[in-house]
Amino acid sequence: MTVQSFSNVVLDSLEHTEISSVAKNMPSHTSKVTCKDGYKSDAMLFVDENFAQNAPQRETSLSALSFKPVVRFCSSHYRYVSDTTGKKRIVQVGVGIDEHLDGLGFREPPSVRVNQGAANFTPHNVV
Amino acid sequence: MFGDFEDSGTVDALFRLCSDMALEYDMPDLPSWILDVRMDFIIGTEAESGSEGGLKEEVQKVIPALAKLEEKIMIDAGLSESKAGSSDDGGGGSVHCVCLARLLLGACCEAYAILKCNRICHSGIRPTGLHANMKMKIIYKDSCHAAVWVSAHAQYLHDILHVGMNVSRPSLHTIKSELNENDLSELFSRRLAGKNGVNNDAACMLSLLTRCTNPGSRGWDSILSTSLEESDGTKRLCAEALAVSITGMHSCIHPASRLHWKKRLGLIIHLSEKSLLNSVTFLCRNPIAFKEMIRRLVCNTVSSSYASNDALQKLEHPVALLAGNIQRLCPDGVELASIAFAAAGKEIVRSRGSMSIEQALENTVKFDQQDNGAALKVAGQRAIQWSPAYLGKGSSSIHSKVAAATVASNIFAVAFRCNFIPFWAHCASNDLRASRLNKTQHNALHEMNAATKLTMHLTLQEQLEIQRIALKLPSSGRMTLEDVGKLFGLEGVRGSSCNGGSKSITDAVNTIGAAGAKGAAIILHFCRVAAISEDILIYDLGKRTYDMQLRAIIKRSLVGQLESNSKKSTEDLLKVIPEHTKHLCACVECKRVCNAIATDGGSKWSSSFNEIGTSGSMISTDPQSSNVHLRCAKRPSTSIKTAIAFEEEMDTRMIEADECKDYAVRSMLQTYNDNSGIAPRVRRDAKSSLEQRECSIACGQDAMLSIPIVGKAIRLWENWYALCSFCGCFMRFHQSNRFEAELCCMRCDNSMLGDKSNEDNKKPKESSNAPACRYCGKVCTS
Repeated sequence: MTVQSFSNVVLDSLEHTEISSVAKNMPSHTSKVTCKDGYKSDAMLFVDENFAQNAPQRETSLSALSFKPVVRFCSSHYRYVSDTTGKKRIVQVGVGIDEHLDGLGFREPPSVRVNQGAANFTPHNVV
Repeated sequence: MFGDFEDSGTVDALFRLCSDMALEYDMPDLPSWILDVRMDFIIGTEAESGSEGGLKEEVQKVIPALAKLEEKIMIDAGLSESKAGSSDDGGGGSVHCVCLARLLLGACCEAYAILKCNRICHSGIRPTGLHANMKMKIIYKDSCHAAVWVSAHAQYLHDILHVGMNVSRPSLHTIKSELNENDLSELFSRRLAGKNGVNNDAACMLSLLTRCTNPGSRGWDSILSTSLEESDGTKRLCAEALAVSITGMHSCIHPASRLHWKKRLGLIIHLSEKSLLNSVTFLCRNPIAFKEMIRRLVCNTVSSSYASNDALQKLEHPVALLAGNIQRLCPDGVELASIAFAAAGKEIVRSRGSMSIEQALENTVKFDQQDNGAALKVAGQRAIQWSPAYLGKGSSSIHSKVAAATVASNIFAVAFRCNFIPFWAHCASNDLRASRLNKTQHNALHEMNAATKLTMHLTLQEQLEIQRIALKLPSSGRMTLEDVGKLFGLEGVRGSSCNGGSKSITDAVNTIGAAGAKGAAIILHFCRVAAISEDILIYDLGKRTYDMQLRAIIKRSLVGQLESNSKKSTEDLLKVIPEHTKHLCACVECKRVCNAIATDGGSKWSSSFNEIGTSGSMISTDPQSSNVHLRCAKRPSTSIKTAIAFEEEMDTRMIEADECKDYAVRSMLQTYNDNSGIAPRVRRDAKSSLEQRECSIACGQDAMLSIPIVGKAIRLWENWYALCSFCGCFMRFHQSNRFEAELCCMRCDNSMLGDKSNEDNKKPKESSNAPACRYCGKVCTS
């Protein structure tokens, strides 16, 4: 999966000039979506089309957010884990396209084709 | 919202409550398995037949001790709902006993949460201090976790005793609660994006979530009825939210307002046997109650979006006030509404299920504005109050800045009206309505426009220089007067209104006039060009996307397969590709894009998008240069036919040559009669005459607008267009149109691209007679 660089910049005030100066350096990465090893589409940052009405969208590299997929931050997507060696880290859960719900065993429902096949070719007396 | 007890933080909440409880009460020695995330980790494992006497012995010790402890805590909390589980001595099977032990521990925690809360303040009352608020907030949350844990285990015990063996283990999803409500945060984040890329069901739910934070109820009734009628999914989500509200399985309520777990079990079973869909329809008759229920849902939905809530809090946005933060309890109104819904549940239990849900809601869920907080202010507490506007004024305090182009356009319009109104009155005095101008009149009136005349004093060199600056700046159309003044070094230019605009036209003229005559001319000319440039926005998607799109359109148009093109580079091949494959073609008259475009945002993924070419267009060849271009082939609309007829009438009448009837014009302008309808007609005609082109042009008279689109995203008339990076088709770009890190139509047609390998993978395999597993699709080969 593409490395995601987070930009947790805290600003004292929301001045246009400060936002612009911060925005010059971000976003520097993009996140793959809906493909193998990518994120689910609902885990991505949704950028409103009205964002184009703002100067930062037009003048800084923040405009990339409108077109390049970037994973959004939601605290429920992260889990703080400690492995057997005592190393602690934060992992993302439940946002991968081919990730099953952690341990619960839920899977995507079988395709329509499989259902049809089962209905057509499974002999009744077998069941 | 969450997957399991650990994920939601339930286990941690129980640990917290247990450790606090141990400081005050004599806790029995708790076995390590009692707070395991799942019972499957205990039953049928080594823990069940442990070395020190086994699980059963531990259970037999711990169950009576926990039952007594719960009884004691309940008495301390002043509640009479005790005698929990005292009749069961753990004599059943190991599954029952383990479940009961876990249940009783949760019940102790729940009772202890009530006790802790009551020490700060009782139900219906709020503390005023920050520290007390923080403590209460944590206890509210922990109590909700404990309640979910207890009810899940109680439901499991009930099911296993009444249904039999095939009962799923207690989990976060056993009963409906705020912890397992659907996570609607992603949908909620689209609340400002309109209905683009959102299906009907989602749009209905979104309108409820968005409008529920408005303090007024204007329009709420109609949205409610429309959303519930149009969308069955929305109705079901509301039914689930209603169940959570009635059972009180959420963290917006004082723990003491929640039913005791035994009674709650009865209520949960009762509700699970009834369909709440009818109750939802019934609740529509009480729109305020419905709004409060949805507000509680929104409160839960946005609870994990800490960053967004923090940003919205700075703007005092109602959503942030609803979501609260770690230091503050939910708003009074939400808790009061939650208590009212929980009271409906209590009514049902009191009547032993004989009272209908609708009747219970009608009896209990009522909202009146109260002010009874004065009596408790002295003690550092206050009674919970409800008022319609407890979420503030309903809109954020974000100022949408008024662009200089808007201010300038108002000045141009007023300057135009100064000449147009006398002309209109002259026409009216000669029995002609001037709703449209012919070419001569158009030119004359615009040349007389004072604002235009002022800009014409700039030299051609200066005009071109300003034009270049306006076109070079991508946000020139969004700049305020102050920004434009700074750009050209003009002092004292600042809008009289705090949003950057002007309060009136006189203000606007004075503001621009502060820059001097030449400065005003510069600003007006700049704004005129900026307004035009605002119609089209182009974003460069970068080299990688350009290369991908180039490869895709070469594949799509099959030019690379021609023998004559076999040795050409991709850049050379681009030159021989048809224009409508690499350019966005649009008719500026009817404002229509004629390329074949995938507009569905990927929602019709099951069928490939295989359309090519253009629609409603024709090829035109210039006889002199032999250049070929596209023209719109749409028939003229009724409006254009009417416009042409008006212009012809103006040409025929030559009204400007008629004698001016001074008296008639003067009396028309001086006599103001509200009922004459003259003012709105003049306003309408002035607007249409200002916006019209020099003369009407029907579709097809001029070449279409043609914008190169390879490697670019183009915003034309408020819509974004781009090429799919994988198949090269045109698409109306939505946020869902992304695959990997690129723009994608999500409906790529592999056969059109000549990629047979992918096509084979996508196509359903030929059916065989071999039996297949209906769940995983695996085909029996033996």
